[in-house]
Amino acid sequence: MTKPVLHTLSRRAILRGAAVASVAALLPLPRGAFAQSPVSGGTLTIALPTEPQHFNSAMDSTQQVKIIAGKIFSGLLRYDLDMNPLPDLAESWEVADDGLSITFNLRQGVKWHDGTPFTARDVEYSVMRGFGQNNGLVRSVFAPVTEVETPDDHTAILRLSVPSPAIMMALPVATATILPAHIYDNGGNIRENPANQAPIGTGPFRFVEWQRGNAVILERNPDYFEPGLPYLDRIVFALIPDSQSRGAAIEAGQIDMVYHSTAAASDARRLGDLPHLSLSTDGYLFDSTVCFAEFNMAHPILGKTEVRQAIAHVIDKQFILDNIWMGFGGVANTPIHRNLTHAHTDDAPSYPLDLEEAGRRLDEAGYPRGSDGVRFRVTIEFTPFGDQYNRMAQYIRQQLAQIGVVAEVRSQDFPGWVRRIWTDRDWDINVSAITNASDPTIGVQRAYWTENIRPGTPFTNSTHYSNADLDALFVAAAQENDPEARRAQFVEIQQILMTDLPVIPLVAIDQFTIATRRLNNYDQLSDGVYAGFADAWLEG
Amino acid sequence: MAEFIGRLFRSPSAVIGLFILLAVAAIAVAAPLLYPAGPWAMVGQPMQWPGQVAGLPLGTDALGRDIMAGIFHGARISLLIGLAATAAALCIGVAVGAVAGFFGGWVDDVLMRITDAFQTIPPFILAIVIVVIVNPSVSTIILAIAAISWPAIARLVRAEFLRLREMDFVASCRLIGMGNTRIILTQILPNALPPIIVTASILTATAILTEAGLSFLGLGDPNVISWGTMIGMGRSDFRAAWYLVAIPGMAVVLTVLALNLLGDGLNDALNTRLHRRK
Repeated sequence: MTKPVLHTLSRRAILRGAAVASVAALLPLPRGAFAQSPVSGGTLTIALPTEPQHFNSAMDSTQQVKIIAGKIFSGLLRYDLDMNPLPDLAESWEVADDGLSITFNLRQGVKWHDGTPFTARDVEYSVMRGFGQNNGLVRSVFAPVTEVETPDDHTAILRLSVPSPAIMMALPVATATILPAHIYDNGGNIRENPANQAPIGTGPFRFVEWQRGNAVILERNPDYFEPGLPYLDRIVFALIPDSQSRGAAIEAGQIDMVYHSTAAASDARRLGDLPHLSLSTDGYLFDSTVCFAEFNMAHPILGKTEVRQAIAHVIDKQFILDNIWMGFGGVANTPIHRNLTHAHTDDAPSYPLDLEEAGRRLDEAGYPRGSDGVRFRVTIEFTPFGDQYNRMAQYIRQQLAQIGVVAEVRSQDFPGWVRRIWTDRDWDINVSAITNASDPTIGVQRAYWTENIRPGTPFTNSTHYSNADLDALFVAAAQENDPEARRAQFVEIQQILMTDLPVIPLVAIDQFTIATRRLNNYDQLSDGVYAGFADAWLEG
Repeated sequence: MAEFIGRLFRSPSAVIGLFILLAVAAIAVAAPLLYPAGPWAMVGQPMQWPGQVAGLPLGTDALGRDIMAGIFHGARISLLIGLAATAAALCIGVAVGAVAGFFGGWVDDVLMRITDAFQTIPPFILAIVIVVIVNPSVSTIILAIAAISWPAIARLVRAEFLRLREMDFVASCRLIGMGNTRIILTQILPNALPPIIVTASILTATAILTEAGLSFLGLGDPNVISWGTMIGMGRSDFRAAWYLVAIPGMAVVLTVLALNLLGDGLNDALNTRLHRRK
């Protein structure tokens, strides 16, 4: 295969795409209008916004890695859209009543792509030395696992020192990737294993070729453990770094999917309304992300709770949702994403838009307007990832100006921003976001936990907020086996955070996928596009 | 002087260029009077097309900011950066070129090798590197543009000085005991001015374009709006609202065109030999 997979977009191709679209407009067929039976065959082309450096999602689950690795590997579990676990490599599972052991009965007859049988030893390696050691997102969740017993080839028993209920929500292929022990467990460094660039998995698709700077090609695994699957013959990941080009390519029918909101949000609804395309926000539960404005608690003025509460009153979250995120998401009433239904609550203090109230509270806090109308001056940083964070920073600056707080927005490149926030700590307000993943123990605790105040380490507790009561609640929730009691702890956590307000949550973001209407079953799991696509199929 | 102005005004391109530039300058001066709330104020519904709402003739952007206010205030920043960067580049370039050309020898060698070193780096890349390292603000952007612009001036001035220093009037100045500094500043420099002035007008145009390019890449000062910032901000909404890019883009095109026209006109007017040949 030497021919480039994706030619540069020609004018003619766009016109052809437009012509097809206009004919199709006469026959508007909503997706799933017919209960058709799946068809085998076809090539699915997915736009890749950034080229990955490897395909090992056990050590790095950034989106460009896991979109590919998810098709090649398998996890122990899948999750439906309500986060109910479904079998993947594990056929059945049982969590002990005390939460101190989890038994997985593994599928029999599964083979790695090189023909080696899959056994419990692969699970043992992956949990103890694979993702359990190397995937920063879930490492803390698996830390209580003391050993993995393998009484036979098809049984793996996780033994825990304390219960870790988040484990059962952290086993999809994209983060808890099961790696082949016979290739990785050789005493070498997992990061230097050549299989990271030519992966061998148990998943529905086999790795064929990586044309660097151009495309990654996968083909159907004929020996996949679910008979008759997968339906697709090939999946091609075509590298298209520019978001406008991705939008144009999918409009013209040159590619079949743009995932994880990597087309312009302002364009997404128009594209989704085209007769040959569909728009979906399902299948990103593991990427549940909340964007926020956070405060440096060491700041002499912003360190005061009354000041932060006053500032919260100047922000209209609905405006940010509608005009900066183009409606993709919901107003964030707490730092826990509404997708995490087992933990999220709206029952927490809120600070509706009220400039007068904000001014009054600042007066009371001892910061009246000076003779020049200015109360005090602050700086605003923003994470340099796309336009949205810059726009939110600009919006907050304008709102603050109305109550006499003069803010200067500073921009820097990504390493400079990381250094400023976590190492130099030379910042006042920071506009950023955090992935909650599927559970607050995984993706919320890290931002507020006193033990996670580690200057110099990126993506730890950046505000240096510290509250012993909150710490105790987080630790208790991480080990709480009873879902109801655990939920109560998370509700209390959200109420404390919305009172102390180390961050003002802004928008609970919904990621979106734009795909051809011919494609079925790509967004039916909680990790949607990052899952295996074993049952995804293209209409003829 | 009167003769020069007369020649300038006989050149249609110079007149058109001057007219546009005066209009831009008037816009820049009027900005704080007409739009005292500044270009960042969110004054209306977001994404209103030009003409859709009375009072917002050019519409609003993604956050409901008035595009017209952006164009007016943007003119200030674009002109400020263009003029200041050119002035800074002229100071460095003229000093280096004059010293190198006048004294020659090892001084010339050293200064010209430094100039060469700057010219071997692609200018826009160098500007990006400087702005990224020192963080974007109006002054660092001016500095970065000056840093990439001065070598051209230095080479031009040096060439003029090399030619002029051999002339009889310079020799006579030496004979009457004039010092080097005085000869450079009062005798040679005024005679070298015409090509410098023409180059400066083109340089200002380039500086405005460079600033627009930097802002387009998100490397502008996030606290001020220039036309480049407006283009950069509108880019992600291009398919949905092309006017966000087209309006400030047109402002950049017109201003740069005007500066080039003026440069042509100045070139014709200052080049007396060309004039006599006509």
